[in-house]
Amino acid sequence: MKYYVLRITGGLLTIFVSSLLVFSLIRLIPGDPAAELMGLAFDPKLAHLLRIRLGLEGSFVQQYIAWITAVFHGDFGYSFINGAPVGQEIGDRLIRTVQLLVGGVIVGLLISIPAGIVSARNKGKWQDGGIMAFTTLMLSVPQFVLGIFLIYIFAVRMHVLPAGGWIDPHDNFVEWLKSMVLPWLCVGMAMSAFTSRVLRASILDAKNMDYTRTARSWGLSEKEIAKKHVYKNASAPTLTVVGLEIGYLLGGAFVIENVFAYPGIGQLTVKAISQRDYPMVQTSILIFATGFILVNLIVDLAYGFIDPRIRQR
Amino acid sequence: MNSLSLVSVRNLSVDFWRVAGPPALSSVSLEVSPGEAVGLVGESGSGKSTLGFAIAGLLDPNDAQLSGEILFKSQNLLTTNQDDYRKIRGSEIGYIFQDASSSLNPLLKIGKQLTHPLMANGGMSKNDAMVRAKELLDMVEISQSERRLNQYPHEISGGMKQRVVIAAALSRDPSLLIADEPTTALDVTVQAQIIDLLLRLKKSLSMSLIFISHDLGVVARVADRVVVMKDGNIVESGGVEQVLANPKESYTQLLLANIPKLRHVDQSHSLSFWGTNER
Amino acid sequence: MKLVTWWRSLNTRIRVSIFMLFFLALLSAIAPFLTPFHSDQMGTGQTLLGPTWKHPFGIDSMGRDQFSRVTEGIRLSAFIGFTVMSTSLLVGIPVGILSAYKGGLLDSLFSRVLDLLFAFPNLLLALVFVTILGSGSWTALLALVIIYIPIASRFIRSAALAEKDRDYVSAAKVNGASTFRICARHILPNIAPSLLVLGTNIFAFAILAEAALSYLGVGAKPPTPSLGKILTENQGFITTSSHLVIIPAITLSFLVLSLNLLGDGLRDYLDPKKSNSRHKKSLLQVLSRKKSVAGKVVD
Repeated sequence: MKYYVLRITGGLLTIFVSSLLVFSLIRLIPGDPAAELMGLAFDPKLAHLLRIRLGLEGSFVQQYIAWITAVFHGDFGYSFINGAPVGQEIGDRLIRTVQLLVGGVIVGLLISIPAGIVSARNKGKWQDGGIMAFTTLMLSVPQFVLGIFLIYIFAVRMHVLPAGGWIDPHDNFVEWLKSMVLPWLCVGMAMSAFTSRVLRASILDAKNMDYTRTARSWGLSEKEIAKKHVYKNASAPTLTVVGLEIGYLLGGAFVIENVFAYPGIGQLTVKAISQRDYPMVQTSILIFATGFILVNLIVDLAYGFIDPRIRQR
Repeated sequence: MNSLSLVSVRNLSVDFWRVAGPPALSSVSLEVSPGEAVGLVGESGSGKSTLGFAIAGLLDPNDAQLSGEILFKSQNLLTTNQDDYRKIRGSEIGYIFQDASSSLNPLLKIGKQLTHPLMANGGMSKNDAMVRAKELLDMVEISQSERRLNQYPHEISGGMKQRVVIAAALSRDPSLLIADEPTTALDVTVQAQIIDLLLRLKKSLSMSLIFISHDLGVVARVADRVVVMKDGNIVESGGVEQVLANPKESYTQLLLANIPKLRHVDQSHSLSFWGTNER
Repeated sequence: MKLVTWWRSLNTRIRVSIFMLFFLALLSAIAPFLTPFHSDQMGTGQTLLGPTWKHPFGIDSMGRDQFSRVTEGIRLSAFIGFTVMSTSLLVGIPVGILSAYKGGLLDSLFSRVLDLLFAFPNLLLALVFVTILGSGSWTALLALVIIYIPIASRFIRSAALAEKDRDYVSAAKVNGASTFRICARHILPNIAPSLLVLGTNIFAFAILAEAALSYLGVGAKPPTPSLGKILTENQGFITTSSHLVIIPAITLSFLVLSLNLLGDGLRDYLDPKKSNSRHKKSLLQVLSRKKSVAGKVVD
C-alpha cells in the first residue's frame, strides 16, 4: 500500500514540477509576445491590455498561479494566432491522438508478444533468426521513414489503403478504419521491434532461472512451467520496456501524425511551434508531459502488482 | 549389480556439447539401495552435481549427451520417453538444490508453489492441495504454517526457504531424495538444523538419500556409504567408517586432511554443529 | 599481418557495418567529384526527373540534382552525429564519473535534475528547446547536444558507479592517488569499452533525431539538404516520382542500420562475460591505454 501511495504522490509531484518547467521555459523566450503580435500597429496601451489577456502581466508567481488555476477550471488560454480557446482546439485532437496511440500499442503488442514467444521457443532456429533480423532492421528504420515506406507500399503501389488523412467514424466507419490501418501499423511496428526482443530475452532468462529448474524437478511439464512461471516472470521486465516504448511513442506522435497528415495534437503542436503560438505550445507540451508521467506511473503500479518484492519495499 | 537396488547407475557418461575438454562424467556406476543414504563427495567440478542432475533427468538433452544406463526400480530412465520420465521425477524423486533463495519463484506465494505440482500431477483439488501443503510445512517444522502459505519467498528466512524446498520435494512421497549441497548457502547453525531435519525425514518416510557435498564432515554425519569423485570419475567408495578411517586414495586423504583445518578455523561454529549430533 | 588477425577476431556484425559505413563515407566523399552539380543549384533544366546517368538519383521538384543533395545529406548527418556524440561524451565523462565517484550532495542533486529531464520524451524536449531557441540547423544541433549530454552523463555515471568500489580503485586510493588520477587513469580506462558502445548509439540516435526535427520543419532550413528535410520536401511527389522519397529514406535507414549493427557488434565483442575470442584483448588494451583489462590492473 505504501508503495502505491508513494508512487502516486511522486507522479503528481512530477506533473506539478513539469508544469512549472513548461511555464518558465516559455517565459524564457526573448522578446515581448504582445509586441510581436501587434507588429507595426504597436500601441503601449493596447499592448498592456493584450498582455493581461495573454496572462503575461504581474510577477512570475502570480502569472503561474493564475495560469494553473485556470487550467484546473479547464481554461487553457487563447491562441495567439486566431484567438480561439486552446482547450477547445486541443480537445478533439487529443481524443484522436489517444486513438492513434492506443490502437498502435495494441497492434504493437499483437505483433511483439507472439514474435517474442515464437523466437524464444525456437531459439537458434530459422524462425528466431528471421524475427531477430527483422527487429534489427526495424530498430534502424526511423519511425517517419517507416511511415513513408508503408505509404509507398500500401497506398502508392497497391492502392489498397489511403496515404493519410482522417475520416470521421460517425460519417463512415469503414473508411475511418481504413485510414487508421497504416498509422496503427506504423506505431505498432516501431514499438514491436524492441519489445519483442526484450520479451524473447526475458523468456530465455526465466527459462534458465533456478526456480524453473526447481519446478522441473517437481515433475511439472514444460507447458505448466511456462504457464505458471516463465510467462509471469518474463512479463515484469517486458512491462518496463512497454512503458518506455509508449513514452517514445508519445514523442513519436509528432512525427507520425505529420507523416500521415493525421489531425492529432502532435501535428497541432508542431504547427504552433513554427507559428510561435505559445499558449498552444504550453498546453500541448503540458499534456504530453502529463501523459508520459501517467504512463510511467501506470507501469510502476502494474510492476508492483506483478512483483511483490517491489510493492512491499 | 544388486537387483534390490532402488537406483542403479551403470557406465553413465555425460558430455556437455558446449564445454570443450573431457566429459563431465566418464563411465560412472553407482548403486543405491532402498533406505540407504549415499554421500557423493568431491570438489566443485568433480561431476557430483552432474550425476545428481542426470539421475533426476534435469540435464537438457540440447546441452548434454548421456550414455549408459540409469535404472530406477529396474526401469532404464535413459530409454524412457520424456513424459514418463517427468512423471517418475514428479512422484518418485525429490530434489533439493544448493541455493534455497533462488530455488523458489519470487513472484508466487509459497502456497501456490506447493499446491501447483499437487494439482497438476497429483490430481488433487485446490482445497485438498492446500490442506496437504499445510501438512507438508508442518512436517518440515515450519511454524505458523497457515500464514506461510500466503507469504512470498522474500518474506521468510533462508533456512525456512530451504525447508519449503524440502517440503515441496517431499510432497508426493518420493522413494529417493537427492540433496545437492542443501546447506552450503546457509548459516552454520541453520545448517545443523536442516541436516537433522533431513535425517529424521529420511528415517520416518523410509526414503533413500543421495547427499551431494564437498564437505566430508557433513557427509560423515549423514551417509551410510561414501562415494568420492574426481574429474568425472569415482575414485573411491565404501562404508562411511571404512573410507574415512582408512582412505585408500591419496585424493580422499587430501580431502580428509582439509577438514580439521577448517574445523579449527571455524571452531565456534563447528562446536555447535557437532554438538547437535545426539538429537 | 596483425591487421588480418584483428579483422578475423571481429564478429560478423562489426565487419558488415564497417563495410556499410566505409561505402557511405566513400560515396559522400567522392560525390562532389562525380557530379558537377551543387546540392542547392536549381535550374539544371528539368524538374521531377527519374534516375539517369547524369542524375543517378533524379532531379527534385525545384530542379536540383538529388544525388548531390543526398550525399551532402549523409555528410551533414555524419557531422551532426559526430558533434553530438563528441560533445556529450566530452561533458558526460567528467560529470558522470565525478558524480559517481564523489557521491553525496553533488550526486543526488545531479540525479534529481536528470530525473526531471527524463520526465519528458526526448523529441518533445528537443521541440521545447527549438521553440525557445528558434528553429534552424544550429539550434537543432544545440538542442540535441543539450538533450544528449544528460543521457550520456547518466549512463557514464552508472557505469562508473559499478567500478568505483572495485579493488583496484581502493588500491589506488590507498596508494594516495588523487581524485583526478583515480578517475582519469583507473575508472575511465575500465569503462572505456562501454563508452565506445554508448558513443555509437548516440551517433545513431542523434542522426535520427535531427532527421525527425528537420522532417517536422523545425530543424534544417531550406536549402540545407538534411535527409529529413529532403523527405518532407519530396513526400508530396511520392505517387509520381517515388524515387525522390524512397532513395533518401533508404539512405537514412542504411546509415542508421550500419551504426546500430556496429553498436550491437561492439557490445558483444567488448563484453568480458562472453570471452569467445582470444584476440579480444588486443582492442581492449588499445582502448584502455594498456593500463587495465576487464577490471584487473595489469600494470
